[in-house]
Amino acid sequence: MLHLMKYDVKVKLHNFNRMFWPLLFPLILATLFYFAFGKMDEADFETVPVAVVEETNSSGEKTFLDFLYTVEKDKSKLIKTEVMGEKQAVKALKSGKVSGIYYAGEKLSLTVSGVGIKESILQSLLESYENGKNTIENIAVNHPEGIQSASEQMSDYRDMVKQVSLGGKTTDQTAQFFYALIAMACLYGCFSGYGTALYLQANLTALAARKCVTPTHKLKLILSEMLTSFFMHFVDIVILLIYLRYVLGMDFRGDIPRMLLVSFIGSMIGVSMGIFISSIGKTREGAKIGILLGISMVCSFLAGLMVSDMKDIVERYCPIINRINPAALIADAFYCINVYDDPARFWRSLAILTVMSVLLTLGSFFMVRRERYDSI
Amino acid sequence: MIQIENLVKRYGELLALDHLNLEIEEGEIFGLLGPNGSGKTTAINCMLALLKYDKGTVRIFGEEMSPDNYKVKQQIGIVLQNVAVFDELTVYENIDYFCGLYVKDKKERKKLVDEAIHFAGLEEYTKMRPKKLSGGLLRRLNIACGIAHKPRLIIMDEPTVAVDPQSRNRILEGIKELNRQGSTVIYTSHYMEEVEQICTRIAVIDHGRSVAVGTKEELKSMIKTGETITVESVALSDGQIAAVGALPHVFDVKYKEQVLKVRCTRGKHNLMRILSYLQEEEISFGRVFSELPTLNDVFLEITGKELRD
Amino acid sequence: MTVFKGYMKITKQNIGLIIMYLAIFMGITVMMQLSAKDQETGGYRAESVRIGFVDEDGGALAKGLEEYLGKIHKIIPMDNNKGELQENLFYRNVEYIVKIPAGFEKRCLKGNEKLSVTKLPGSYTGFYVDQQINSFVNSAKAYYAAGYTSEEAAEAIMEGPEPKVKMLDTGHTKGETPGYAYYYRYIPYLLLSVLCYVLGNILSAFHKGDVPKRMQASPISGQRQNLEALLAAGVLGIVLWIICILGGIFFYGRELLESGGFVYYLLNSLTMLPVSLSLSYLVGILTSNPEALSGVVNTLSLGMCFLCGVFVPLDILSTKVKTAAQFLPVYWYEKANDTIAEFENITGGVKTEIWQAMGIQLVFAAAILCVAMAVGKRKA
Repeated sequence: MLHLMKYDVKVKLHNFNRMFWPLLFPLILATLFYFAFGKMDEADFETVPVAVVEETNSSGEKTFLDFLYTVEKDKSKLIKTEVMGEKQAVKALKSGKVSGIYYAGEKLSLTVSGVGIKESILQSLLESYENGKNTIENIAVNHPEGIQSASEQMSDYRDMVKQVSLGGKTTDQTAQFFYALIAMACLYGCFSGYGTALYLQANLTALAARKCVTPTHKLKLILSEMLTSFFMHFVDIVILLIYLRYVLGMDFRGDIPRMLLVSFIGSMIGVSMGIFISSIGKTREGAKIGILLGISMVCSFLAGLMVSDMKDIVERYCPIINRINPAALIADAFYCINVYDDPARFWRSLAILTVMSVLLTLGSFFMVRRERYDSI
Repeated sequence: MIQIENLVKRYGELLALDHLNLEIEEGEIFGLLGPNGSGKTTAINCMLALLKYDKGTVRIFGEEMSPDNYKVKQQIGIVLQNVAVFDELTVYENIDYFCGLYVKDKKERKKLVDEAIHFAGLEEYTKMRPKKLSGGLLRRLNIACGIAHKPRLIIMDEPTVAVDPQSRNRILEGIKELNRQGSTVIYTSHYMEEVEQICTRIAVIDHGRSVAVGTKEELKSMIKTGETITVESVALSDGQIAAVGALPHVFDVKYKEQVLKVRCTRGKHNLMRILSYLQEEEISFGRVFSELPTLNDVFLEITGKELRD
Repeated sequence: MTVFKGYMKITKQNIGLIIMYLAIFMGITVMMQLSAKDQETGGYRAESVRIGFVDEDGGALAKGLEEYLGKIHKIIPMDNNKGELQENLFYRNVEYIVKIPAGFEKRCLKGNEKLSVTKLPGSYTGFYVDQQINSFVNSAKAYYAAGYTSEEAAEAIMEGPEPKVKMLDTGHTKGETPGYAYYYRYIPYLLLSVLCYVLGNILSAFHKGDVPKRMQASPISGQRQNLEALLAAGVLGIVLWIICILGGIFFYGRELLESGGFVYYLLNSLTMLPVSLSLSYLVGILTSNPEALSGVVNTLSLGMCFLCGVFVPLDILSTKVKTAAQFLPVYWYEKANDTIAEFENITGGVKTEIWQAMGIQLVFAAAILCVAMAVGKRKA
């Protein structure tokens, strides 16, 4: 048995494509993800160009303009204003030179031409100005004595919202992508499962046929192949986890043994799914790889690899998919460990994953155990 | 040692083995001769219990062969048509791996592996990976992987396909050597020269049936053809050809591009008779030679087609 | 045209595979654009968010906040039961949870205690709720400082003005990004993935064993072979492109056909085609087996699409990423696409901008093609 495993490992280590793509690909993607969203939370928006149309010479307008200039001069460079005539402003808006027009008249108003972050920024500026103005006006009427302390308080505008997970840990908005990425990496084990099937199924390769006619018990051959594949894929995933946590500094603060457990079961699912599918029928190599790829990509997509709230949408419209999609389950389990701190949900996901991996492992086992073939 | 009875294998409509019967004795080099697609490889795969078959029995060493008959498998070595080695392992590692599937003891295995390397003449290449080996060396590695454990029965399925003549001779001599050391060999090929050169007994396979079995002498004596006489550079009229055909012992005349091929049954003066006919008619001719029947003739006569296409 | 015909025959052989890849990635594309439409069309004025509201304080400030948020959102009062909250959040019954602990009113108004909220990771709608809470709490503090009681403060804030925001009607969009803009946003992923996989598989047939040598030994010049191979790839690409376009028309029909940007969407995706083609040609030449192919293609297509604003809108990406992304062709596609979506009536400066972006894509395509040719020559 050791003899078998020694060589199985050796063979796998030497097969660059089968061994290193499942490792390298998630690492590269993780790095790209990291750069793409690493700073999304504190997104540095571009300066928003905005036109200002002065309608009358009221004093209200003057205060608003002052307010805008203060904002403009602030080092965050949120907006850039330009005073224009109305026609010119509309033209500029239509051609995209500015993102909105402030009409500074008796009544302040904002005109925009689209939806998006820039427009929202302009709106929130207007809102906060109007709110402040309203507050001061109200106070001046009802509690004129307090106007001094009120304006002091107002200039001390603070972020009053603190983001916490229910378990008390802070949450990272982009973590979802990375959980889905781990899930995808697990499912990518199907390619090493594909290789395993090639080494076991006499109807797929001559090599396997040669193995099949030796006196070494088929069970041993299968066991050795499967164990080494599981193990080596698991090592890949662990490397990915280490990379995410220590190199990219992701917020993976949850219980490590649990993460490892999920990763191990995840890699088992990936590998055994690969063996199972590769063992069905005698389709061409390209087609089998296509099917494996299709399944792993669709599952990862539904788990939120490309659009982060895909899983939520599925949860809302067709929750059953999230219960049987291994990628969603893996992502959920990681979620529970790192974000929700929700043992019940975690164990349920884990239980489903375990059942799935056992079924798939048994299934693939029976597929390769078939001893005589219809055709070779 | 091996009994195959009424083996039937269908691939859908196609009947790949049609009630195949074979009996192979210990110590033989038994040849399965037949053109491509005649069912040789299918027969081998059934023998090894790799393929399901529709009917019949396969007994090896007196035991029914089945996928989990590990006792029987222990004593078989196979060399299949397609090279079956790990591209990822070196020559030495490959042989050690496959030998390890049969022999657990490390010391003994090392000895066997070294012997196999010597046997295949791969001493200089032990550290190389298969991708770097030439076609002939690769085949030799393929064989070494199959026979390292000194099996009692060696099954070889066209081991010399795409091999240079030198390697081929080496392989054939090797097979004889293995046989001398006590292994029984089953050898399939569509090269009749090879089969003729090494096999002690031969089965001619066509359309999944064994159409004739025997030593090569037995096979040749089975057929009508005693000798084939060829006359080159000869100009004949249709009447003259018919006249040649009417000579005693002659049973088949072919004339094409000034070459006359006459097949005769066994007789003492076949050549003389033809030559004297040509002399009488004052026909000039070039080279003349007579050949004893080959396995090709055997095949031709039994199946009505040439062995080679 | 023997080489061309050869490619076509192999393509025919692979038709099943092509249809499979097309179905998979088309499915993903369609689902993505449906979800994006679902999530972002209301993005300007955040749509109603289901907010779970846990009020353990019970004070006027808390009540006021509940009422204030209730003006726009759907408030679902809840108990502070961790399990129940998690359950609701997990099943998306609520998307945002505000927790007001007992005694918060005092600690907040006098001190600066922040309010704990929980939102779904990765949801942008939560951002707007954050802003509203901020605005409410800050105003309340100002009123309180001025001597208002918390009840009075809450009341005063409730009566505050609604800012006036008008949408300028600049064409069809009416301030909303049309659904088909999302469809076109995802097209690079579709084109890249399908073309890379399909071409990769087809080209690999020509790179197996000694076939390249045999091809080289043939009396047809290498240049001509390349040309015919490219022609074959082009035909394949055009067919795929037409399917994509028909897909868009199928989903959006007249709405798309009548939009002012339709022609530009077509042109822009048509310039994306040579980019995808040349990239897949390069990938096909560089990889020799299907396993390596799937790794390379996935890395390439997903990576590029993430960095260039296919999956995550360009607006949200950081400036640094965007600067880096300018060196990738898909960025320019998305830039053009965003511009087309924003201005349905394309004139003047906008027009030039779009043409520029398309031109840059073509330059990229040419550059990649040259690299592919050079690599191809080296390999042979």
